[in-house]
Amino acid sequence: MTRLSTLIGNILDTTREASGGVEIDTLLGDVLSEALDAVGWALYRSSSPGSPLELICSDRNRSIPYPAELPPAGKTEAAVCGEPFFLLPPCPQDGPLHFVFPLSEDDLTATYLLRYPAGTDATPLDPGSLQTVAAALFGAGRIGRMLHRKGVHCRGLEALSTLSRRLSDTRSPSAFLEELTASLQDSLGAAAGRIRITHPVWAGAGLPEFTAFPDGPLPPEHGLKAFETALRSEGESLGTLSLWFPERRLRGYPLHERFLPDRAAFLETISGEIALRLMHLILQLQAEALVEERQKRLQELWILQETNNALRGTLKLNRILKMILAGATAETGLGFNRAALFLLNEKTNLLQGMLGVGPDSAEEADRIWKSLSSHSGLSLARQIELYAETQPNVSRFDTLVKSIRIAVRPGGGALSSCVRARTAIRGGDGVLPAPEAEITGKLSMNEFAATPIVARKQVFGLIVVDNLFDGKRITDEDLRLLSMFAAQAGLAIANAKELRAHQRSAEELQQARDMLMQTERLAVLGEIAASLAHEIRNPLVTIGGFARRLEKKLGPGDSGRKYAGIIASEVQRLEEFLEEVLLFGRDRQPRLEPVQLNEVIHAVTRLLSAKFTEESIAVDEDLSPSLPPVPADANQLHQVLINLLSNAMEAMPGGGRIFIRTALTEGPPAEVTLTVTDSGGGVEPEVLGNIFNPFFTTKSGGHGLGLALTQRIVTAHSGRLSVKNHPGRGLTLGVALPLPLEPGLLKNIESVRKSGRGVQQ
Amino acid sequence: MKTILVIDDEENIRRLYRDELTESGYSVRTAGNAEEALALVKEERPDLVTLDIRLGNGPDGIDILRNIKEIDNTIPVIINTAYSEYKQNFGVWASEDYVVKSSDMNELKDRIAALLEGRQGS
Repeated sequence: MTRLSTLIGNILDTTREASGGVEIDTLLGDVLSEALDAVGWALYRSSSPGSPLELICSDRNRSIPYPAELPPAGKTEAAVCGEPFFLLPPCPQDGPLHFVFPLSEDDLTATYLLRYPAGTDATPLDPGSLQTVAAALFGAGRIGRMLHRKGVHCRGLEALSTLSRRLSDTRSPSAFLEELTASLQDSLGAAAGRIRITHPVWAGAGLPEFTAFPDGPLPPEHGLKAFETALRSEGESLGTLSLWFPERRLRGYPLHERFLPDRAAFLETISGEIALRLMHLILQLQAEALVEERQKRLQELWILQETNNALRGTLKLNRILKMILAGATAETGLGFNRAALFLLNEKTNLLQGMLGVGPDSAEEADRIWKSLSSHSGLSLARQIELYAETQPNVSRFDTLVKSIRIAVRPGGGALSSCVRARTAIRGGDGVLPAPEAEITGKLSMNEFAATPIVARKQVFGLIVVDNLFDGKRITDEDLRLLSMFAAQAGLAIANAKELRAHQRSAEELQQARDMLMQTERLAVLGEIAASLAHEIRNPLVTIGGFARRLEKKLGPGDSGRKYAGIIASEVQRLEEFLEEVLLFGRDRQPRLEPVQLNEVIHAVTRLLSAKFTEESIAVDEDLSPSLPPVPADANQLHQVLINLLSNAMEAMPGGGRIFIRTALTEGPPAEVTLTVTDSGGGVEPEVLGNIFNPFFTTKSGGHGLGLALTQRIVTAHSGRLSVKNHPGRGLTLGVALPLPLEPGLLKNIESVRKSGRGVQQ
Repeated sequence: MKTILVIDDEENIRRLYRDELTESGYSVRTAGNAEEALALVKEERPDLVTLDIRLGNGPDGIDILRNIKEIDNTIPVIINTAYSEYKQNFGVWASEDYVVKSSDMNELKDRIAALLEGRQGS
């Protein structure tokens, strides 16, 4: 009995230990072999009622075949139910004694087989005691199993709460993954795992689709039990979770297997919790992304507005260019390390380096913007202004940029194609087409972004930026902002250019006005001088002439002769002075000489032929071959013709025909006439009366002086300027220049011209 | 002896020219207005005319020049005026020469001599 009680005590101890986490089967095995002094033992199991018995473990891993004498596997349960245990007859070969007794539970049916040496009366216990032991084992097994299951559940709950707590503390995807893998390893004892999160936010956070632990390739699956589940939250698939658990074999018994149904349910719970936490994190990330997006938009708007504020402050092109680049490089602006500005010369189709803003080193960059932002509370607009005011253009980068010319042509490099396609590009290694050698070579811009500056459908140039010093990647976002910035810069440039054009035409107008006033003033002065001269000259001639006569008449000894000589020479001095005064006044008058009008027309149409082609204008001429020379200032007549032809061209912006005609009117009065007719549709009748008024114009670019000056010149030649309007067809402007005599009386013209005295001074 | 017609509205000028040119060996006729001048041209057919352009209120010298040439295109006319600008009036191209008035009459006398010699030679 003592032995029996010791045995039962052992069994109970074992059970208690088992609840501490040791697998009960192991201990039961130990008890069976040690306490019962059995030679061998084996455990069989059928995983479900009626299924064949399988060996699950035995002493020293020595397999004992299930004796044929035992009830068939399928009937084990029935057999053991009737009789708790029974003694088998000894086997003929080695003659062991076999005790078989069942251990049965809801989910497990096991059969313990005890073997004793044959022929020895080694049976330690009588059948009654064995029955008691079996009952104790049966009970202990159940208790142990319950305790074990409870322990597993407790540990599971503990693991679940730890996991939940650890995951809910994470704020970032990377921390989430870190905590998740740590929890799966620590609390669940997973040997390896793989988490695949397919939610787009996850990819947006820049995380890999898979994370695996341990790092590196997963261990071969042999010897591991895999568990895989989908991570789902509220019907939304977030990804999958795969775990591998070690098959801890003890004496050949795969322990986990027995608890697999439990564990699978537990793992489902765990994965549900993981999915929930993951969903929370994703929502949080989405919210953060939204906030960030909004902040970014606000920041962009702020940058654009500040830049706009700064740019609005000036209309000076150079200053604007500098401010644009300041905005592109300001830390609180676009924040690029370096920015270069190229302007497109439309005539030559060359991109011309205008300005480069960028330090020659990272330290310098830091220093510049630190010193500017050290003025506390300084707005970006003010910073940009300050930059434009204070930073001299002496950097090496600026000098390099200014030395660059890039041809814009089909098949050109990256910048050329950027201008041609009018789209922003991001250039780097392998970009097509390859950047121009100047950009990669001279400026060392290997990773760069370029955007065309376009305003009012016109490309002004482009901005190129890079991050040479901090090596920051240029993102799509950067490119988009740069494009918006360039559009704004384009408007500022367009405004400045327009203003410049306005200023220039205003200046031209002022100059023309000044010139007119000056001409008029001089003309008045000349007239006064001329009439004075006429009044004074005649008496002077008389005084001087008679003084000379007197000088000749008086004898050498006569003192009067000397006085007469003095009068004569003083008069001559006065006459010379008068001549000078007259020359000054006359200088503004046309210098007339015999001019062949047809020759002037040929010269001017030759001069304008390229312009005619460019403007798609055809010129027809009908020039009279018998035109006598007209008295005219060749230069001024040249000007008249240019004015008339320009006027005609401006009336036909889309091209057309110009008809030039010359003719001789025998008179009287004898005249040479010139008419210029365009096909520009004529002018409004109410406009017609004004076209010769100075400063009247219907053109946006003109100052209205062309025809007024023409009229002055023609009038100064004693000629007439006439206009004939053909509404809907065109306008004819006519110049009639008078001939001094009837053509038949002009025989002396050539001699007068040749004498060099008649016309030339 | 060659006859020179001096046309000028200023009497003192006419007197001076008459004295000077007579002394130089010419027969000198003078006229102070267009009517006198044209009458003398028609009647006497002078060998040469010196012609002022501004003649008081009457028709100006360029018209007179035109009239003279219409009467006789062979009579050489020297425009002799205080204005040098009339050189640019193409009306004077019908004249043979143009001399600006000066108290020093040597230039005028040289031109007269040259023109008369040329006429003689031709």
